[in-house]
Amino acid sequence: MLLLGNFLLIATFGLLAYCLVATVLGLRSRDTRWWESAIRAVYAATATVIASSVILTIALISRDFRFEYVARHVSSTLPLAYCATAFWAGQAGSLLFWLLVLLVFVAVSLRLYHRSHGEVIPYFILFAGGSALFFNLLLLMFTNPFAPANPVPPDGLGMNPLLQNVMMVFHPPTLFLGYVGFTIPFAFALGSLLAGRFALDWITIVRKWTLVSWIFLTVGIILGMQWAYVELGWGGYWGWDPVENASFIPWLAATALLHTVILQEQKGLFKKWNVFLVVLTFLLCIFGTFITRSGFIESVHAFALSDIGYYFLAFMLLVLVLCLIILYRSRKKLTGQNHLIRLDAADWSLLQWLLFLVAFYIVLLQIRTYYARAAEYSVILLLIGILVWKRSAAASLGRKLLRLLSREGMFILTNFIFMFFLLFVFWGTVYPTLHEGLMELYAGFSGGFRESVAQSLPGLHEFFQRKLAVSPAFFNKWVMPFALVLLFMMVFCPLFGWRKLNRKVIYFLLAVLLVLVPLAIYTGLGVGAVSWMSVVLFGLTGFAIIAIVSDVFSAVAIRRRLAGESWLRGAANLFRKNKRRYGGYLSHIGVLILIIGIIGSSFYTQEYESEVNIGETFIAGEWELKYVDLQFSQDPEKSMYQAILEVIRNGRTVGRITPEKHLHRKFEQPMTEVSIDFNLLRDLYVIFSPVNRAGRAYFKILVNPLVIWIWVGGLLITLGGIYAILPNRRRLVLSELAAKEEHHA
Amino acid sequence: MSQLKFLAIALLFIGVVGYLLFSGLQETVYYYTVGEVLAADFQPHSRGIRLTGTVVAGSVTRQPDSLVMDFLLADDQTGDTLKIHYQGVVPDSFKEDRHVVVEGTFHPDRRQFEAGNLLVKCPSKYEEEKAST
Repeated sequence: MLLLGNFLLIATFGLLAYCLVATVLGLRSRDTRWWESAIRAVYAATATVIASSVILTIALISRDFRFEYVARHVSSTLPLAYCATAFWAGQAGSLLFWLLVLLVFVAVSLRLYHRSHGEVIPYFILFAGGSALFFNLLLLMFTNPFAPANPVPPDGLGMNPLLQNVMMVFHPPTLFLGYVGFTIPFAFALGSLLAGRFALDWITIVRKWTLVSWIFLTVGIILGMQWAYVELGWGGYWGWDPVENASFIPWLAATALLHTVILQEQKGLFKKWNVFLVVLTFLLCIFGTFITRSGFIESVHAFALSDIGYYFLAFMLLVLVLCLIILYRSRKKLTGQNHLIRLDAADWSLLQWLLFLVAFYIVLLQIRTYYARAAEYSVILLLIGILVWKRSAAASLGRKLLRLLSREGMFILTNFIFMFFLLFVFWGTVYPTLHEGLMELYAGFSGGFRESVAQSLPGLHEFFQRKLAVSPAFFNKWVMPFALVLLFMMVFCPLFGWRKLNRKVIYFLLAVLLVLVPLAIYTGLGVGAVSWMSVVLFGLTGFAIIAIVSDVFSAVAIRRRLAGESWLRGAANLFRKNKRRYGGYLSHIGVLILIIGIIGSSFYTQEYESEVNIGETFIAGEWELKYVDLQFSQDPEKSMYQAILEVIRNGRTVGRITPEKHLHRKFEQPMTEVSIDFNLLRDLYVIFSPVNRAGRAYFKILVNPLVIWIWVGGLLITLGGIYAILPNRRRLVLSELAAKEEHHA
Repeated sequence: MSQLKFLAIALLFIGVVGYLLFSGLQETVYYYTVGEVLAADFQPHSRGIRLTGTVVAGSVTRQPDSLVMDFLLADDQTGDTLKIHYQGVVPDSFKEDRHVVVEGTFHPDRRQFEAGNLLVKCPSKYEEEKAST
C-alpha cells in the first residue's frame, strides 16, 4: 500500500511534468495533438491523485500504522469519523488534499471549456498544471503522506482533542476548496491574456469560479469562527490571529473582485484592475497557506516551523514576477474605454495641493503637543485658502467627484475600502516578521551609530531592539472606520442609478437620516447603550437594511404597475429574472445581520465569575445559576467531568447548561468543553473549571448578546452567493457581451 | 516635468499611507525576556509588555479554591527566573516545561510580574505531540 501510494504520487508528478512539456511543445509547433495529449495527461494525473487519496483514506480508516502519517494522526481509540478526517489534520495530508482538489477542479474546467475556449486551454494548463506540480513536488520532497513509520508503533498518537469537533471536520476542507478554487480564475484570466483572446467571455468564467471559491472561503471562515467560539473556550470568535487573517485577507481581495467584475461585465471598466485582483487573490491564497503551514509568522495556531516556508516564498515570488511581466506586456489589450472620471492637469495640481496639506497636517500632528489647536486651525485656513485660490479647479473637480455618487462611483469606492482594509490587515499580520528583519538590519549598523541613536532617540532605539506583537487593538482600531464607510455605502448604493445621481433619492435619504439618527440616539440612551459608536453602527445597519428592502419594494411596485402582477408574483419574477443582483442583495443583508451580531457581542458582553460547591446558587446578571451536580464518565479516549447547572430566571427554571472538562489519555492536557445556552437575543456561555475533588468548581459566565445573528448572517451571505451563481434564464448573455465588446472596441 | 510631478505625488501618497501604517503600530506590545526585566536598568512600561520563557517544573502553585496561580518563568538563555502571578482561566495546554507568553506589567518593588493574559506557545499545537511520548 505504501509503495503503491508513493508510486501513484510519482506517477502524478510524471504526468503533470509531461503535460507541461507537451503544452509547450504544442505551443511551439501549433500542433493540436500535443494539446490533446496534455489534456489527457491532466485527466490521468487526476485519476492517480484520486487513487492515492483513496489509499490514504483506507489506511486512516483501517488504522494502518505502517504509514507514518496514520501513526501520527490516528489512534486505535479515535472515533472512526475522525480517522477519516485526519486526512486534512496534518501537513502532508492537507497538501495532498490541496493537490486532489486542484486537479479535480482543473479536470472539471478542462471538460467544460476545452471545446469552447480551445486557444486559452494550453496557457490555462501551463498555470494550473504548474501550480499542481509545485504542490506535488512539496509532497514528494518534504511531507510525504506515504512515508513509512519506523519502527511501526503498536498504537498511533491520535488526534489533538481540539480538532475533534464537528466544525473541524468541515472547516479545513471548505477553506481549502476556497483557496484552491481561486487557481482556476487565476489560470484562466492569465491564459486568456496570453492567448490574446481577451475580448469575449473570460470575465464570465472568471466570475463564476471566483464566486464558487468565494462561497467556499466564506463558509470556511464562518465555520472556523464557530469552531473558535465553541472549542477554544475564551468566549470570542475572532482574535485577529495570523491564521485567521490568512483566510480573511484573500476573502477581502475576492470580495473586491466580485464587485468590480460587475463593472467590467456591464460597462467594460476596470479590465486591468480585475486581472490584477485575480492574481492578487490567488497569491494571497498561497500566502494564507504559507502562513498556516510554514510557521514563519508567529501565531499560537501555526504549525511547526519548517523549511517548506522557503519553497512557498519562492513560489509566490515566481508567480508574482511572472504575472507582473505578463500584465505589463499585455497592458494594451486591457484598456477600458469608459472612464468615469478623466482628471486634467488643473485637477491634478489641486489634488497635489490637497495631498500636500494632508502631509503637512501629519507633520503638525507630531509637534502638536505644543501648538495643540493652532495646528488644526492653520490646516483649515490653508484648506480654505487653497480652495479659494484654485476655485475654478476646485469647482470642476467637485463636479467630477459628484459623479462618484453613481453606481460606478460606489463600486470604485467599495474597492478602495476593501483594498485599504486588506492592506492594513496584511500589514498587521506580517509586520512582526518584517520587524525582525528590521532589527537585524539595525543590528548590522556600527555600534557608534546605534549608540548615538540610543542617546538622541531612545524610543526609536528600543523600537529596533525589540521583537513585538501587533495586538488585536490595532485591527479593531482600523476595522471601525472601514465598517462605518462600508455601512454608509451599503445605505446609498442600491439607490444610485448608473452614471447619474438621483436627487430625489438623496433628499429622501437625508430626510430619513434626520429623523432616524436622533431617534436612534434617543432609544440607544434609553436602553443604556454603552457607547455612541455602537448606536451609530446599529443605526446605520438598520438603515442599510431599510435601503435594500425599500429598493426591492419599489422594483416590485413598478412590476405591479406595468405588468399588473400581484406583489408575490412580482417579487418572485423579479428575483428570478436577475438572480445575480438579488443574490447580491441577500448577501448584503447577510453582511448587515452579521455586523449586528458583531456589534452586539463586542460592545455588550458581560462577564461573571463565581466559585461554588455543589448545590449552591450564584447570580450572573439577570440569571441565577444553580450548580446541581457533577458527573464523571469515561470512554476509551478520555475521562469526562460534566457540571450540571440549572438556569433560573425570575424564579423559573428556563434551561440547563452542562459544561465539561475532558482529560484525554493521549494528551496530557485538560480540554474545556464550554456549554452554550442560546436564543435569538443572547448566548449564555459557560466555562467550567473544577477546583477540588469534592466538586467545588469555578464557573465563568459570558453573556454574549446577538451572537446567533453572526451565524445567521454568515448563512445568508452564503445563500446569496449561491443564488447569484444560479444560471439566469436569459441565453443571450454571451452574444450580448460580444456585441458590447465590439461596441467598445 | 509631468513625470517628476507624478513621482512627487506618488511619493507623497506613499508617505501618507506609510505614515498611517506605521502610526498604527502604537498598538503593539514589546517582547522582553526575563533577564532583561530583571536587569537593574529596566524601566517599567506604561503599556503592557510580553514576556517569553519556560514554565519552571515544580514551580506552579495554585491557591486552593481559587483560580489564582503563581509560577516561575525561566529565561531561555540566562536561566533567570521571575515569579508570575496570574488570575484567570488557565489555557488547556498550559503545562510545566512549556514555552509560554505572558502579557501584563512588571512590578519591580515586588519582583513579580502580574499577567492578565497567558498564551501557551505550542508550535506543534495542531500537529501530533511528539514530546509527550
